[in-house]
Amino acid sequence: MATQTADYTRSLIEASLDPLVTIAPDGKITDVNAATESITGCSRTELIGTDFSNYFTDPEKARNGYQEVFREGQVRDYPLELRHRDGRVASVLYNASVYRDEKGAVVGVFAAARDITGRKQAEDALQRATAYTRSLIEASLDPLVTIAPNGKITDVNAATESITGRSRQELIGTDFCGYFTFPEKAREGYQQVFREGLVRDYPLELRQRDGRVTSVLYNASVYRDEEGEVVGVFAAARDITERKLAEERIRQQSREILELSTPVMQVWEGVVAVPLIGCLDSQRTQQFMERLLDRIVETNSPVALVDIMGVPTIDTQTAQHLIETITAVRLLGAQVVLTGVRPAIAQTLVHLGIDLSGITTRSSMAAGLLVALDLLKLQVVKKSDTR
Amino acid sequence: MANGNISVIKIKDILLVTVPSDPDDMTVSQLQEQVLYAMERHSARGLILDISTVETIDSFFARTVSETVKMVALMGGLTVLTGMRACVAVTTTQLGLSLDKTLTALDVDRAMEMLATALDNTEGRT
Repeated sequence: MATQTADYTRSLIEASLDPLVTIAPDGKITDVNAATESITGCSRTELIGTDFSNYFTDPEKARNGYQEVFREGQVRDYPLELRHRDGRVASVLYNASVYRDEKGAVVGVFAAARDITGRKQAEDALQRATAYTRSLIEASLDPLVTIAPNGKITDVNAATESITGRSRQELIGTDFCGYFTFPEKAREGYQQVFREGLVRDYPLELRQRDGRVTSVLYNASVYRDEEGEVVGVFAAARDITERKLAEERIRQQSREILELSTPVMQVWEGVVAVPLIGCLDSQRTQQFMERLLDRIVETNSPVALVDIMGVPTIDTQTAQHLIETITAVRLLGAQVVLTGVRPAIAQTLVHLGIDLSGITTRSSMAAGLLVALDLLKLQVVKKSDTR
Repeated sequence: MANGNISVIKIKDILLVTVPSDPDDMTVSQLQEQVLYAMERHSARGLILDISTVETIDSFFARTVSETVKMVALMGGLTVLTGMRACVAVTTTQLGLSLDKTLTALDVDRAMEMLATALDNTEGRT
């Protein structure tokens, strides 16, 4: 009966998938199970009687471990690295406690290891992945920031630090809106993200510590936890200071071009001429029309020559603008002759079905001037004819 | 192919263009181009389009001609279509092709006269 019970207990121990070992107070192994044999690659007879700590990559730590058990009575999840005979290393967590004889005296340590190599690898992979993601976030040249629903900054990247001129510690936990020239607008921005899920190209002006202002466009969207609950807003800014400067330059230049490109000149008494150069958009037409009408009134000219030789292409809209101008001139009581109708433009106008039949058109400025002179009842006569 | 067949002759400030007898679509398009560039180059004020050798006429030809008339007008020129054969005139009307707004003349002589009077009336050039 006693033998039977002993056999049964033994079979349970052997059946355990966790490597089990008993250690004497002197640190020698007194018993092992099959799982210990397989994890160390040593047989039972080889193991028993040898030093427990020899089977680990860090024997000192192993020794400290079982000594702690003798001292404290038990340890939990004591991490060690078991070395297999062929050199492989397995990460294990030891749960160990002392066991006693019938009289209650401590006989040794009963230690159960749990192989956590797989789990450890998974953890390492996760850690690597996290580090990788983080490094990507940090590597971004666009300032990134996460905002909690209460408007506090929860995380920033290096670019945010540099654009605001403040360190991560200073930024995290403070109010997002506080860093902009218009805090209200910033607040509205992230509230819109919480409401609608995302915003695109939301323009804001970031104030730096030294007072400089950077124009940025924010793209932001909400991010969620595993359950799909909205946790906060992830916002990426794009510095558009350069772009804004460039845009301003372009605007200024196009204004200058506008001024330059529509000179209205008087070519004869009673005849003004405008050479149009470049594309005609509505803004230019407006300006061109105003100048032309002004000059017509100023010089009291009944005929205006509008030369479209320098207009690269004509579309319906451009033609419409021209017709508007011509109508306006007629209202003043003057007349427009459209000159410089190149073959290509003539073809385009007809193909687009634009009706210019009510307007006098000529292929050259010279021909247009003749029409103008005719309208003014003037004649160009050769000198010899008059003698 | 048809380049050689189109002749654009300048007489004073009038262009005389003879359309080849059986023009295909390409020829007709080229004809339009050539006429317009000649208008620009010579600052011509009139165009006589002589179609006396043309035996058949299709919708593309009719449309191109009427478009050319409009384009020439935009460039300040007046076009007269001359020498349309009787059978061509019949087909043109039967097909309902749009040539109705175009000035026409029986022959080149009459077309010249027509242009001379019209141009004298519009612009005082001596």
